[in-house]
Amino acid sequence: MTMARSYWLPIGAGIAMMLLPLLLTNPYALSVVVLALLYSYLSLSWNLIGGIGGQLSLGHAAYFGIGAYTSTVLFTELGISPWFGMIAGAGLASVAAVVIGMPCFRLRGAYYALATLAAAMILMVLVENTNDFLGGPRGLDVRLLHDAPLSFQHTDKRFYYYIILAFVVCALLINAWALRSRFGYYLTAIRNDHEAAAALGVDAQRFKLIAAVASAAMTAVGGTFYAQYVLFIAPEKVFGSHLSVQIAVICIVGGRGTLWGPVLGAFLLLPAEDLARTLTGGTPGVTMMLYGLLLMVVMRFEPRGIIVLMERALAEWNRWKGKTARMGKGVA
Amino acid sequence: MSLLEFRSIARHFGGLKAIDAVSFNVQEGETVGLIGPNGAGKTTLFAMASGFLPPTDGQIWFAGSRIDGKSAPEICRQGLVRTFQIVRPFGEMSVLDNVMVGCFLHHRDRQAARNAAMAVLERFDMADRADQAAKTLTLAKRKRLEVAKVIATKPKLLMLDEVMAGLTRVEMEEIINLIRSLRDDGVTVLLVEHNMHAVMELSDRVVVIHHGRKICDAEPQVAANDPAVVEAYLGGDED
Amino acid sequence: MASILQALFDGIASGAIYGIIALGLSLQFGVMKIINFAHGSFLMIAMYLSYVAANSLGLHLLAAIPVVVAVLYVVGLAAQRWLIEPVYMKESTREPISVLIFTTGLWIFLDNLFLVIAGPDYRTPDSDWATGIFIVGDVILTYPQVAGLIIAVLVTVALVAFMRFTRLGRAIRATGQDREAANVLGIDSASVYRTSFAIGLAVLGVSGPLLLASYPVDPFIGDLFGLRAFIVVVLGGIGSIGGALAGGLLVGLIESLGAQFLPITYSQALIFGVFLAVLYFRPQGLFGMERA
Repeated sequence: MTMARSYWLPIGAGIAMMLLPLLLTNPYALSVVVLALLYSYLSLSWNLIGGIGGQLSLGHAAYFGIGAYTSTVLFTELGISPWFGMIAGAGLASVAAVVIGMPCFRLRGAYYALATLAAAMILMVLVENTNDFLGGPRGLDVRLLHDAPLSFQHTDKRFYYYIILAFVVCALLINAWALRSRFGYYLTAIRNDHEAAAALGVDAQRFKLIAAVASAAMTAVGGTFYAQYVLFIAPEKVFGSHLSVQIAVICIVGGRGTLWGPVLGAFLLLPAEDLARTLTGGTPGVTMMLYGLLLMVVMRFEPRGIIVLMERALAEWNRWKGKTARMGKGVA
Repeated sequence: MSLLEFRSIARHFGGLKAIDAVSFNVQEGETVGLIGPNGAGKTTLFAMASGFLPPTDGQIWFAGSRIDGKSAPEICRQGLVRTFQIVRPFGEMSVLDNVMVGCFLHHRDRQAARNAAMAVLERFDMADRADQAAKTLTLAKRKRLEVAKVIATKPKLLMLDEVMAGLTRVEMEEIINLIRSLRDDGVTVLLVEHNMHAVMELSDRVVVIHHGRKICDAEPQVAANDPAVVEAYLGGDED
Repeated sequence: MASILQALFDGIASGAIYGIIALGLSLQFGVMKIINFAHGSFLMIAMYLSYVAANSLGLHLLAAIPVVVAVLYVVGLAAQRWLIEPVYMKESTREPISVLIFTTGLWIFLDNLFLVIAGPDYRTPDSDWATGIFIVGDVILTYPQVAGLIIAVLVTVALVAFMRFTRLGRAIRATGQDREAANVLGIDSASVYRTSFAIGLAVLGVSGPLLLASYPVDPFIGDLFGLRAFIVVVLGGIGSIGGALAGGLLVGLIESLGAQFLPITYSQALIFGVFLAVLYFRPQGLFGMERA
């Protein structure tokens, strides 16, 4: 429930991130950071329901896909700018979140997990089998407009960089607010003991739904971003279980329910995944094995995530710093 | 004025009549003890009144409106709260945060809730443990915290479920004094208790339940001498 | 009309297998209140074991059953002792999601481990028996289907008898109902949990060779069957052994009859649709003893 007391680190990091594109001239390097930022954003979105809310969603790709397809279809068929399509996608995703969450939040966590899995799979199957509008298994291209910022497109990758950076900052602010507010306290109480929380006037169903809706809407926005960045979407990619697993694992391994855990998770796991893929020459299954293994190791040894290890290391360093400082000043 | 009223309340589990047409009320400002041998159905009454279990039959009225069948959060918001027999702190949260959850019912703002929570902890003599993780507390402190949490919601009526169980003599006296001071603050109390000393000390009136039925409703001294009550304790289950 | 009869029989036959798969899950959940998301992965392992038994050891598929059951029993003991128990003990809240996350990790890990080791290819066993058939009127009954039906009934009866009439069975039921009370009576709950988990996987092992007779094995075969098992448990009611079999039969029938009227690609989605529908309308299932 406590936030970092020193604000200079996040602000310094923020400034550094804003200046980064000026230093990184290599477009590949920039795209790597954009991807890491996208997954940070998605993880932070998952964190609202999965971390703070304590509900295991294994099908968040459902919302991502809804966002990607809604804005793309509206753009392709009706010429509506993806900026507005993004909002429509968020709306649809919110509805989906309520449909999935309402029956499940009264029940044990496993049912929600299965229902989210089911939802993502059903959506993928539906889209794969619909060739009109939705392009079927081959996917959809986003019409190339080159430089059209009002239609969420640009040839300069820095356009996307600053947008996703802004999204990440928003997601951080939303999480920070959630953690400090009544909403966050209630969700934490619900996570610990929902009946005891009910005895204090907390309506678990209501707060879980709010968290689920916010998370879904945010994730859908990420889906639209992705569609406009890559300019091509396919059901296997945007509704697939690989993405759902990535998002959940990044948040859990990084530190679910914390502010910086999801970001840390993304910046650690994506390079790790890449490394694993390169080392094994792209053997299928290796990266997912890694994700599964990490999940088990974290839950076995430090369920609160890697961020906790870093905080401990930081505390140790501060203590050591304080000790040597006092030693330098003579008798305290 | 009748604050809480059980009207012919019944609860059946299949063929078993856990509670069978029990009626009694609790007046505002009173402290009523609910006693009876083990398995008599006292916690079931609490569960029904606080919204954790729907009654099979009968009605429950609180502060002039009907509450049976309503949800637990709703009933809490109306001012009727209960503690759990096996204490349920929010283990991963600090003592202060635990109480804040209760305070948020009336204070939306975090700082306001925090201040209110600190005040409650002062009242309960636990301010020094504010940042301690709830799961690391001793049983006696957990019981205090359990009461502190619900008091934070500023209830009109407090239902205490065997809050003395498992405490030492000294700890018990502390809790008894705490309950007395809560009563002096104007909180109406309904307590389920096995410990006769506590019941006699605190209650204005006792209601005796046996085999799911009310067998006595009188002042403590009168009830203690009621032959039906004596028989129930000596003849049946006993603690 | 003939095809409806066939579909009916096929549905019951596959439903019986689903019931066996779900039995272990129902038992584990009924006792320990934990849900093992890696259940399907263990089924996949059972099927690979059966494959090895049939092709490398030359065993008849039915003869492979005791072998697979024994191996999975040991695996179950080890998994509960070394993997699940430590995670379960660390959990300090009343809603143990850690085990859920952990077994999700195990599921992903095992599936992909086998993808790396065994490759993505489907494998079918060398078994003439698997292709044998009876013909009754217009309906074709395969040997594995008939065997599956008989074995499903036997296993269910055996398990119910075990739970009701043996000391260990009663200890398991007692621990499932009230762990603390059972402790007071001298029952070691940790040891009961290990045994229950092991029995659950052992029962799952029975279905390995039977399934392999009808379906080729690949690393992800466990996913769909595992998910079906969860749906069966929800339908049949948690903790009810008879309910698991009944739920299995129901799912088998819905699937089989549904395939008569819907294109095949939708049949997967149909199962999930049924699942969501059950959650909406009857979360305690048909025979459920407690709310999901």
